Amino acid sequence: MKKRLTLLVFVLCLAALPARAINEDVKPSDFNLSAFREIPILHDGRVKPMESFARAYLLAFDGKSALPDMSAIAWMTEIVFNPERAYQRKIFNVANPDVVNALSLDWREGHRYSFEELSKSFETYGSTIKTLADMDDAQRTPPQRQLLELYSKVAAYAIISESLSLIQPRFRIHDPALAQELHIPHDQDLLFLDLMPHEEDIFASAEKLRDKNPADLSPEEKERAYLALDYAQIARHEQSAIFRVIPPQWQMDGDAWMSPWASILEGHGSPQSAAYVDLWKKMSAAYLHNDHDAWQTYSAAARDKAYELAGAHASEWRQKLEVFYLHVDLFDIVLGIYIVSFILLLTSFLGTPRIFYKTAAVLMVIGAFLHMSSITMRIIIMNRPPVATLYETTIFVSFIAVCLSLLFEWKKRDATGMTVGSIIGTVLLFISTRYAADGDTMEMLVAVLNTNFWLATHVVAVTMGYGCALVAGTLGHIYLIKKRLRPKDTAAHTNIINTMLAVALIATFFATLGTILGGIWADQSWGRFWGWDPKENGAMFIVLWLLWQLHGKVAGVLSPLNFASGMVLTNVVVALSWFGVNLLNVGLHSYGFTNNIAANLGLFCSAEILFLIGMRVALVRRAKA
Amino acid sequence: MNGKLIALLFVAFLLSGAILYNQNQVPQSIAPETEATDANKKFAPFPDITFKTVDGQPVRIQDLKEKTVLVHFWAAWCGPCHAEFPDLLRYVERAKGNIALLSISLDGNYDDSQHVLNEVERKHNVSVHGPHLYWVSDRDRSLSLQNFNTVKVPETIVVNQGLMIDKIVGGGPWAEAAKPEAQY
Repeated sequence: MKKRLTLLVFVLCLAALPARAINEDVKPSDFNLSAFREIPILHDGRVKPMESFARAYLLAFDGKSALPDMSAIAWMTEIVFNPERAYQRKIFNVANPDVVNALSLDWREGHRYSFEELSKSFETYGSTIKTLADMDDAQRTPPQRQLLELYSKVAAYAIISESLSLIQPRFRIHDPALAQELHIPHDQDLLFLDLMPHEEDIFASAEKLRDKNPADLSPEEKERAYLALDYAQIARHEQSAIFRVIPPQWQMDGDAWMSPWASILEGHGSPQSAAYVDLWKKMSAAYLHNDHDAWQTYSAAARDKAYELAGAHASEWRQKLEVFYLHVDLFDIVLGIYIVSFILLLTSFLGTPRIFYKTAAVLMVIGAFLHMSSITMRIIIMNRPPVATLYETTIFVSFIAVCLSLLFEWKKRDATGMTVGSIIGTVLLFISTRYAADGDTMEMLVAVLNTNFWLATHVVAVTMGYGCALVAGTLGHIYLIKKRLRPKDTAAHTNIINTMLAVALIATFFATLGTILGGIWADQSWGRFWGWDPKENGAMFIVLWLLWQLHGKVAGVLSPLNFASGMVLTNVVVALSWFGVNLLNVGLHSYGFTNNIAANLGLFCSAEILFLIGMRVALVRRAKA
Repeated sequence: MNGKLIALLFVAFLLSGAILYNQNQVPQSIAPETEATDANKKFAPFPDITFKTVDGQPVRIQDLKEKTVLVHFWAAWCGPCHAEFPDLLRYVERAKGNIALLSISLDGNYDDSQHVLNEVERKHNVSVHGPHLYWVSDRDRSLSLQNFNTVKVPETIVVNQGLMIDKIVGGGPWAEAAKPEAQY
């Protein structure tokens, strides 16, 4: 029957598709979203607050965590409660003109496109997408890959927008005779859920019109046909499974959270979840009617009900802490503090009053404290050690480097330590912002990494080794610069070399400890201590490099200048081990592969080598002069 | 000397911290299952609803606390419901009063349901009448949809001492249980 109906509705579609009513008066930002943002949702294997879910998707679509005129959470309310309005919002960032061209769209400033524009183009080029999807990834060109990525984003957007379609007032029957025939009240807002028991009657009613010419249909008959059409269209949303807001209710559910569609259609509903879904219905109605008081009441009730239903599956205070963490965005503040400190330190080198140095010191301490607070919040929210993804390693390594630098600054008080700390803190936190732009930074880990003991020991030790090695490397830079600018300040040179030696020793200790602990973990997980995996080789490379440098220095084979030069190259060694091995995409540690990292890594290594060559040449010339 | 002592203390602190942390933590790969079991031990109470049987008799699940109650949703148009009825009725019969069946029909016309029950009784030699069987009609499906979010049939909620301890979607294992009274 549905097949025949499809034909009918298709003809009707062509005849005249009525524009869906869009409530333009609803301004998402005007609503109080404090409760809504705390509602828990299962996404990417993790229970997170709605705020985090909204930001992850806005970052994926637009590349930013907020729109110029509204926050991510406000944007999310529009998608799920007022999707027709959201479809017109230009939020898809299509940065490649070739992709825009392939979709026959006009290139525009800001290159933002709406769901409405993109979905129409994808409908036209459906066969192209299918061909691309069937192709091997290696055969796809970069624009083709981007086109496919865009397609999956648009599809995800559509799925999210359909999440609540079964409990939204999408229907209203004006014809009393039709309402009576279907045993449905007329001139009242009706939900898909209200019509479900009458599905057979709705299709049977439209089926009677099958042999009629659509153009000859009376207004009453058209209403029957459109009712069936709208019903059939919304029924297709049953696959909508991204918006998993309903906590597990039964033993059979295990840890699986359900979308409203799945909960009801797959038989996971319970009296408690029915009461929760009812609150979502009321929230939806309040939103569409622009009723701010009702919205506030029902969104708060829905949040409370969600945590009551979730029980041990979601910790309310952790979710609230995550909302706070996202709201304050401390890493951006810390980055700003490190930059200001660096500028103040630079000016202090020019002989400015001591207050510049003191201000920089206070700022660095505040920055390190906020940095630590952010990392601590992440540990509490995720209930695991802070170092498991590339993003996390960048923020943790920068913290270690800043702390170590401050420790040396406290001992020496010559601005060298703080300069090193502010440089590393700034650079690594800046790099971390690029990773943060990929979406949720608190992603779940692959099974092999998901063990708190080894994350707390091996990974922390290795990353502490990275942090200390980077401090030693940056001190090498400062030594070379000072040697060039102040060749006669031998006390300062010796001071730096001694600090560098101590830091290199600490780095060696942690790198060695981490590598050995990694071997023991590998033995437990994979049944062998050492497998010549690129990451293992990289870790060992750092240890060997540092040992070689230290032996050379202690044995007197390496002069201070050569030792400092070797330390400069330590940065290259660490970068290759840290990021470089992921490029190989082989071995058991390829969890952090990033496509566009090669160019940046190449640039960094080249810059370091050029710096070293340049400085050595400059020093030789100066010596000759 | 002081430096070495500090370094040693730091390493000892780091290692003991890691060991303590590990002892206090359940690995995350196991934690969700453990948490799920704990969570599900806190069973939710069945809502206080007074059902009205097709004979006009009021029934409250809270009044049947001494029994296990199977709140069963079905419809005449549903094949698996027909298939499970004989076993389900025998299961309740075997429990000798320890289990009651509250069967909610989703049919728009209860005559269709009654027809199916008559057929079950005739073909399978099992009674659809008894003190532990309650037949309820939800002809406009408002009860099943609004209160239970139930669309699919057959579905059975197992209620023990007023708490919902399990839900069975599709046909239940009624035929396999030799001693139903011992099952719940």
